[in-house]
Amino acid sequence: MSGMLEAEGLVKRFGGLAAVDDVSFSTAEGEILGVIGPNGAGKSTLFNLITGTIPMTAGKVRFAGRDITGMKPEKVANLGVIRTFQSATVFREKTVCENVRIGYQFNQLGCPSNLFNRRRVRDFREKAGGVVAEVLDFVGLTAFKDRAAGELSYGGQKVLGVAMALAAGPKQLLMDEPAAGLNAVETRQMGELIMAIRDKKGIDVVLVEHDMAMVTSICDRILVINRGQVLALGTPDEIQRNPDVIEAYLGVDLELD
Amino acid sequence: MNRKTVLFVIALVAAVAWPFALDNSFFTHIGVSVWMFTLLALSMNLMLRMGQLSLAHGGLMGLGAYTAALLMLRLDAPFLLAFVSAGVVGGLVALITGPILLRVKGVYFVLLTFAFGEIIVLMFVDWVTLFGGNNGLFGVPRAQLFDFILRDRALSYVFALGLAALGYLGLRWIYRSETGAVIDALHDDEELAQSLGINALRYRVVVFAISGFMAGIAGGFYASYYTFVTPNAFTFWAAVDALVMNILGGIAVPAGAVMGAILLVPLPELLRDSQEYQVLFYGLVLIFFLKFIPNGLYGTFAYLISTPRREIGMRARKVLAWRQWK
Amino acid sequence: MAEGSGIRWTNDPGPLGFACRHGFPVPIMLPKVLVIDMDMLQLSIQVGVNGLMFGIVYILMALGFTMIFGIMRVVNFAHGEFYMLGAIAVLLLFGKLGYDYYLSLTIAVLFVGLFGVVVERLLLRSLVGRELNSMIMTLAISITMLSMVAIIFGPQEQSVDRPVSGIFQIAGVIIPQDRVMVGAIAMAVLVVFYLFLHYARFGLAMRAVAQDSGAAELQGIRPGFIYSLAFGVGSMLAGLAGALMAPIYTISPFMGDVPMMMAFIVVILGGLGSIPGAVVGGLLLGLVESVFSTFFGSTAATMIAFGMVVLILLVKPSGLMGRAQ
Repeated sequence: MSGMLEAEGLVKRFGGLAAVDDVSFSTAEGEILGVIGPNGAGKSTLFNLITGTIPMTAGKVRFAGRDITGMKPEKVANLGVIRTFQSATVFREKTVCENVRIGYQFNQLGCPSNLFNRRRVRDFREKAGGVVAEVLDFVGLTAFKDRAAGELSYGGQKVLGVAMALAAGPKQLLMDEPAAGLNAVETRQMGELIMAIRDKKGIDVVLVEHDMAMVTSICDRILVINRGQVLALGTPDEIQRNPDVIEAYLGVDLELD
Repeated sequence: MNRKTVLFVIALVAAVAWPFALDNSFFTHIGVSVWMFTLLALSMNLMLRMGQLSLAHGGLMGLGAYTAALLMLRLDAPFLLAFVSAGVVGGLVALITGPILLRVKGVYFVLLTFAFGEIIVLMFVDWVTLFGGNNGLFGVPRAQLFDFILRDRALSYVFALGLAALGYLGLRWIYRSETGAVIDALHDDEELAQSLGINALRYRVVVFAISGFMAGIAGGFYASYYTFVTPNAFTFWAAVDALVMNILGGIAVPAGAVMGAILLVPLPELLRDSQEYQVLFYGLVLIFFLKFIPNGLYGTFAYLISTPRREIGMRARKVLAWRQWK
Repeated sequence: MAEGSGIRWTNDPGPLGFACRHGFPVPIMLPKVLVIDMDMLQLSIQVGVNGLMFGIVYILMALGFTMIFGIMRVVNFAHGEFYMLGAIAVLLLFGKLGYDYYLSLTIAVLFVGLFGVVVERLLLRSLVGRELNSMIMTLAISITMLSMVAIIFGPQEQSVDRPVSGIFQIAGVIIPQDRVMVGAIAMAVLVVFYLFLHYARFGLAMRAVAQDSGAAELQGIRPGFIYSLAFGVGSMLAGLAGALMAPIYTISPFMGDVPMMMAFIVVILGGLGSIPGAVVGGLLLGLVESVFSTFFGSTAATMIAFGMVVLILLVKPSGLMGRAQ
């Protein structure tokens, strides 16, 4: 079964340094793929390449069969690939409810010309309330909906970030360290949320993470990256028994989470 | 009708009645200038709300003014057509140059628009056959609707006030609409907005174009009110004035731009006699505001209204107590 | 004018006539036109030398401006007024009080530097890093300085005598002696400045703060002190340029506008915050101004300069030698 996202020979060089060096993988349908690796291994850069935030030195990316190499981030988002950020990026001055609504709006009315399309705007306004309520309920933030986003705890803001991404109607979610900065309880809840996203909404997920417990418990497959190169790709069991992986991890400091 | 609408209507009525009550030609003239610059300040407010400062707006206003003047002088165009064209030219130039200019951000955008604005003025000065050089164009006909010629100063005042009010309401409508959410998002975290699907460049261009349209309209009004246009009214200093009005009044809401204009435009007139003292006063006022009232008048005003008196007292006492501890 | 040297005044421009506009391209109404019968080689060299003479002063202006931006991220719109202040100080000390020119020069430069430090401490310190507000504050400072000088000294143009006069003529190329003096002093100052930046403790500290103020602070460098130093030195350079140009040009409260514009252009071309960029940009602009004002007039030269600015900002906003942001 071939999945939605295919990366082929991705390379990104900064001057002489190759941050990403010939990385290829493809996601399987309905899969949660984890990407792990020591710090500085090139994981965030990988996401930036896929979403078009930074230009690729070489390689190709395909989503749902369509070549998205070098597409602008907003176009990639419009095609259904939405990413979340490592830090809690939300619109702090706006309420939780408004933030989620914005997620939906930016997806529906991303181009200024949409604003002149009366039907689209009307559709958006009619549906927005329902979409927002449903997403808030799904992530569990309904109680906070009228609070300013900046007032939420760090964990709450990260969940809000996920909610915004969900409102933008993704088919594929790229999550950059969703558990970074979360305590044990919040991490578990985030893990459950991600599984629910896959199970109940049918959205595929690729996530970059350092928290090994979370990764091994929720990911179907794991991609190990070291020094910008693919070290291994397999199920959590396979990865945990892989001697190269063990060497790479024992050779560096353990994650200071 | 809620409190704010009532307040607005009262303010509007007072503003309209004012020149008729006062019946002083000089003060009415100041009033006209206030409302004309309010429009320019509002156009600047749009840009600032996006987080970008454009120093080209003086030039855009100038393009509007010269367009209106030329259409009426050389082509005998009716006022309404010339006036609307002024806005259209301002908006169109912004729309066309936008995709190029708006690729850069921050300081570089400021410098780029500065250079762009200066090039426009240089064009006004150098292309003497078309724009009249340093002397500019004069004898521009006054505003005219069908057969009614706007010669009365008080009526010009009402016209200017009407334009400013439309601009103000228009801006508030934009800020409250979906577009407003985009503008705020672009200012706050553009990367986040893009990751959700916003085409940032195109939205910036649209905002720039609307802003340019407003500046052009202000220019069109300028041409027919003053009946002459000269290049040095549209240098980057005009944009700076608009910026200062926004700073004085507060960037956060359009009302701030209005307050800033009301405060700033009459200021030099108080010291008519000596231009040096005018400029000195302007400079000192600016320094004072930047140092001690950085959120602008409206910002401070709004804070004082929204935070109940009691709480301000409590907060002040907390601060004092903490300071004593140290 | 020396006879038989191929230089003469005339009312009629002729094939290679051009009005000598020494220094900054400000429209000067000359009743006559200086016609120089030169061949293309000589003309090229003359244009090149003119360009160098313009360029050296542009470099002085641009250096201070770019330094202030690089270290404090402040766009100093008042930079032209510090130039003017230097000239005004020379007007007072040399023109009105009769002190020796070189003494007046030194005092003027030190005064402007001190004034800069005071301005920075009182008004700009709290705005460092806040680009919009600091920009407007420097604008406010600019017009305040302008109007105060206009009130005290009057808005009209005044002038002082030249400390040296006459021209050198080398192989038919004309070099006024006062410009040579200006160039020599400027070069000496540039050399000292380079040594300061690369070898002096505070110079290195300034560069550290420009690169990463947080890291510099961790190393024990106090940013506040560096900001004052940077602004003071930057203003001194502008004041020096003004004081040097004072005898060559007329002095007025508004004389800072054009040099400000030129500093702007040079710094954008060379890169905001880049010292080598200021040098390269200054020479480039000097040459461009010289070429275009000779053959096409000063307005065309200014338009070309702005055009270059637009181009650079679109193609490589960090400037010819700047680091990408």
